[in-house]
Formats: sequence, C-alpha cells, structure tokens
Amino acid sequence: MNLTLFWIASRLLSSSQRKILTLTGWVSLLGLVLGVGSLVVSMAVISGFESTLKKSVADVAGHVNILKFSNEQITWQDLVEKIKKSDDLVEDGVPFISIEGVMAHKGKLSGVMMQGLDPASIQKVLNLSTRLVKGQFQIQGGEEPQALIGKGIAQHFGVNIGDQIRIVVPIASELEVNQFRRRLVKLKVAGILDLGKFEYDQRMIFTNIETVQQVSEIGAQYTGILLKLKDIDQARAFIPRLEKTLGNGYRIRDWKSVNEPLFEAVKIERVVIFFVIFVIILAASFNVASSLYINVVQRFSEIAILKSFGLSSKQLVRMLSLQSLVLGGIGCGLGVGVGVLLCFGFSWLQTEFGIIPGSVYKVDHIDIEIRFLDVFIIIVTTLLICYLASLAPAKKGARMTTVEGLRYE
Amino acid sequence: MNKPILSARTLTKSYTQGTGELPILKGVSIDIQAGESLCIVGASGSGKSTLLHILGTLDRPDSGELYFEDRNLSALSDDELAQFRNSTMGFVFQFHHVLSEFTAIENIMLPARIAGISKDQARADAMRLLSHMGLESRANHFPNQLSGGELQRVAIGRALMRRPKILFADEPTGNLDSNNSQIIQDLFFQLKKDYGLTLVVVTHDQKFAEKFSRQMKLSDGHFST
Ligand SMILES: Nc1ncnc2c1ncn2[C@@H]1O[C@H](COP(=O)(O)OP(=O)(O)O)[C@@H](O)[C@H]1O
Ligand SMILES: [Mg+2]
Repeated sequence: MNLTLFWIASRLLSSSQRKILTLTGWVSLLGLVLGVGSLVVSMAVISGFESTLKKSVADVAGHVNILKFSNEQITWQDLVEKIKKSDDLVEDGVPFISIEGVMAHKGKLSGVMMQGLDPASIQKVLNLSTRLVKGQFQIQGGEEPQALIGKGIAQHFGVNIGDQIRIVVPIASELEVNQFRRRLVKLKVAGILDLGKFEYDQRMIFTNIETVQQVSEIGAQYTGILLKLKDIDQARAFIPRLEKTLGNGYRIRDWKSVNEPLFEAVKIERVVIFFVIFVIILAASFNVASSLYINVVQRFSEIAILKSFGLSSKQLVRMLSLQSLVLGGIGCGLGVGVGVLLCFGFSWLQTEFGIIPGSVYKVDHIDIEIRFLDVFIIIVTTLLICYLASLAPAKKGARMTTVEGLRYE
Repeated sequence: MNKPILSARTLTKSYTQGTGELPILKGVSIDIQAGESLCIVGASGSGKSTLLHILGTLDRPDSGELYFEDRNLSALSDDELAQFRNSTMGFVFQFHHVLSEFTAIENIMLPARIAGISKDQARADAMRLLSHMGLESRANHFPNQLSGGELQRVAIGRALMRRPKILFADEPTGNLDSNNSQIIQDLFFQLKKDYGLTLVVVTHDQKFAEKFSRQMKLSDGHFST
C-alpha cells in the first residue's frame, strides 16, 4: 500500500510533461543540497580536528598523566610495576621529568619545555616514533646527550639533525628563595618530530631522563609517570580506581583533562556550528515545502480525481509527505555527495597549500574525518524537517473539496 | 418492484453567493434501480453536476439522505466514503482527468493500486479493459500521445477498473466531436451490458439521452418528468 503511494508520489514528482518543480523548486532543492553538504563538511572538519588533537595528545603525553608530589621514596620502576599490577587496563608506563628552559641559538631566544624520558620504555607508552619526520628516534644520555625536537623549534631556530642546541635551565637556590642559578645543557639533535599540536611543536624537546635529572640536580627524582592504557576511552573511568591505589600525593589526569578547555571548546563548537548551518537546511526545507504547496494547488483536478476513485485524505497526506521525503532524500543524497567531495577538496588544499595557520587553530593539519554518526544525524534531522514542512501542503491537499477540482480541466 | 440500488431522499444543497444563499437543489428524491440506465437532463446551471456529485458521494447535501441498498451513506466518514467509492462507484467527467505522468494502462490501474491490489493483478485487469475498448496498442502511451476520444476511453476504463455497481458520467461526450461522441455513447451501452452496470449519466445531447431507459429533467431545484 505504501509502495503504491510511493509510486504515485514519485511519479508525480518526476513528471517530464508538466514541471512539478518550478524554478523556485529547483533552487530550494539546491539550497538543501548545499546546506547538507556544508553540514557534512563542517562536521567532518570538527571531528577531524577533535581526532587530530586526541591523537596528538595521546601520542605525546600518553593516556594518563600522573604527577608525583609525595615524598614517598619509590623508584619509578617500582611505581610503574605497582600500577600495572593494580589494573588490567594498564599497558605500560614511562617516567618523565618536565622542566622549563630557555633555548638560545643563533641569536634567537625561546622558552621550551624539556621532557626527560626513559629511552627503554618510551616506545611502549608514547607513539612519538611515528611522528619522526627527520633523523633518528634516539635519546641516549651520556657525554653528548641526544634530543628530539618539535618541528616548530627546528624551523624557528633553523637547526638541523646533528646540530648542537643549548638550553639554559634555572635552578632554585637552596640559600635564598628568590634566587636562581643558571645551568646550561648542550644537546645534540637526533630527530625532528611533527607533534600535531602547534604548541607542542613550538615548545617540546625530548631527551634522556638522566640528563635532565643531572641538569636539575634532583638525583633520582622524577616528575611523574605517563601511562598507556589498553583502551584510551576508558581513561576517565580508570582515574578514581588509580587514585585509590596510589593514595594521596599524586595528581592524576586523563588525556582529556590535560587539555580540558580545548576539548570542551571543540564540543561546544560542534553544536553551535551544527545549528548555525542547520538554519540553511531549515530554510531550504521550507522552500521545498512551499513549492509542493504551490504544486498541490495547481494539481487541484488531479488530486480531485484521485480522491474520486478512492484516495482517502489520510493516504493523500501520506503521499504528499512522501513527496517531500523523496525530495529531502534526493537533497540529502546529493548533499552528502557534495560534502564528501568538498572534504576531499579541503584535504587536498591543506596538503598542497598548508591553509591552516597552526597558531590560530592549535593544529596545522587536520585529518578530515567523515563520521557515520555525524552523517546519520544530518540525514535524519533533514528528513524530519522535510516531513514536518510537508504537513502544511498535505493538510491543504486534504482539505480541498473534491468537486471543485472536477468541474474544470 | 425491486429494491433500489441507490435512493436519495429530499436532498437540498445551496451555495453561498456573495452575501446571500443560492439554493440549487430544493428537495430532490429519486430511486435508482439496479441495472437501469438513467439520464439526467436540464438547462445549464440547473444543478445536474451538483446532484451527480452528491449521488456519487463526492459531495455532501445540506440535508436529506442517501442510501446505497440499505446502507445510510450520510453516516459514513470521508475516508470510509473514499473506500466505498473505490469499490462501488465509477466516475467519468466531461474532462477526462487522465494523469499526465502515467501511461494509459497505469492510469487505469490506479484505483486498483490504491485499493491495495497487486501490480500484476491490476495490470492484467487493466489490459483486459483496454482491449475491451480497442486500446490495447495504446497501453504504454502517455496521455500527450493520445487523442481526446482515446483519453475519454482511458477514463472510462479507469472508472470500471474496480468493477463498480454504478457508473456515473457527467457530460462524458461534452468535449468530443460527433464521431468520437458516437463511439463513447455506444461504448457506454456495450459496457452496461457486459458488466451489468447501473448507468447514471448527465448529458445535453438529446439523441444520447433518448437511448436511456429513463430520463429525468432537473429544473428549479426539482425533478420534473
Ligand atoms: N462552489 C460553488 N459556489 C457557488 N456556486 C456554485 C458552486 N458550484 C456550483 N455553483 C453554482 O450552482 C449552479 C449549479 O451548478 P451545476 O450543478 O454545475 O449545474 P449544471 O451541471 O446543471 O450546469 C450554477 O449556477 C453554479 O454557478
Ligand atoms: Mg454540469
């Protein structure tokens, strides 16, 4: 039965003899296509942005970040063992020390974050090696300690593989609280990393943990542990469990809360952009409905004859809604197609021309991600709007008296 | 006497015109016998179409009742009436109202499809009707490829698709040349015989009217024989 209505509805739409879709009808369909297309693109960009950030954060800073405040005398090896034993979710851990410093090179100065890591366990926790763009992935200590630097630093200072870089580190004086001593550390650039997030690229220098311990004169102390979990999405739920295991003296955050404001902003942006662009779809749907309305009025006598041989008002309403849904479906289909094409175009543009300024958007390259859920939501809401918009013409059609349509041609 | 198939009791209908009421039907009663051929004549504007629409449940009277066999049609809802029309009544109008997006055979299939009859069944039935009217070669033509006479025959085929008991026609030859008009007139009586139809036809054509078993003249809102 519904198939019959669908048959009639779509046939009345595809008429070649009498144009059901007037120029305004086509324009409104085009509007629908563009609206759906731009929504697909913007959701893909936002999703890609989010994923790029998430991946960058997880690759560079691990899934869980533990800061050790307590004076508990426990080596990092023991601490990692303890954490691993406490929960199956934990894959591995790596100790780290972070200290701020100033890098000076060829007359330029810039603040950097020096991160000391354990070369033996770094690969088990961080995905840094996949981000190597030049040189070798090595952070051996010793006489001439090696360093991996963000590509922003390499660019800014014009340093290359094998170059020596100097970093000045402030050491708090034991004698006077407000005084600092300077210590200089010389590192040899072993590799250059593309860290994904702009700030990372501009600031991060990775080197051997022992080197940093020596420079900052803290013995075997460490800032904390970075963890890798078997499932990154369970990180948040895992934190309370870990807090219980470790007790006081530790500050534990997941990858998301380390960058909370950023991920929150992305979340809000997604909703805002969705609704802003959705207005285009809304307008287009009502345009489609209004051309259907005109059509209903023009097709007075056809509707009358259908009613005369038994089309009920209910069926008529359903038929007109189907017409709107058919148009909405065409608009969605073409719109998703256009959106996907635009996504490819955007990807091409950013690899060819590097169109994203990293200083503004936090990342300088987005792996565009067309999520099934995004597209699904776009299609469902668009069809829903088309359906709702069709109710007015449908009611009009149902209200029209049969006999008037039969008196004239 | 037989029980009438359709019987109307003191039907009235008026239209509002400007500020006043314009009475068109002022209490029309008629019994239509199963299998008879009834012709309604009358001056233009006398209310023939209005009456035909009410008898065919396309419109409702202001007052009065309409019975089909023993069923009070005035009590049915619009959607019930739609279903009733689909299964019991066929209509042919002055203008053929053939849908231009559908081929001849598809137009004829429409009432069956709306009733939920399968496509294959409907197509077979429609084909039989088409050949009955000498149009089998036109089955897959679109309306703009058919002549006025052929279109009116398609409309008649469509009206007969659901094997109605009563066939209503409102000036079915009003728009045709004399040759085509003759073909349609003959077809009506041929079909009446073949399908055992009850015919209720409005016409201006005196020669056509004389072929019916009963003529009723509508004037001043009443029947005068
Ligand atoms: N919807 C309407 N509103 C007002 N007047 C109408 C309407 N429909 C028909 N009429 C009038 O009712 C009268 C009868 O019309 P109709 O039944 O079509 O007559 P006939 O078919 O005998 O020519 C005419 O005067 C016509 O103008
Ligand atoms: Mg008339």
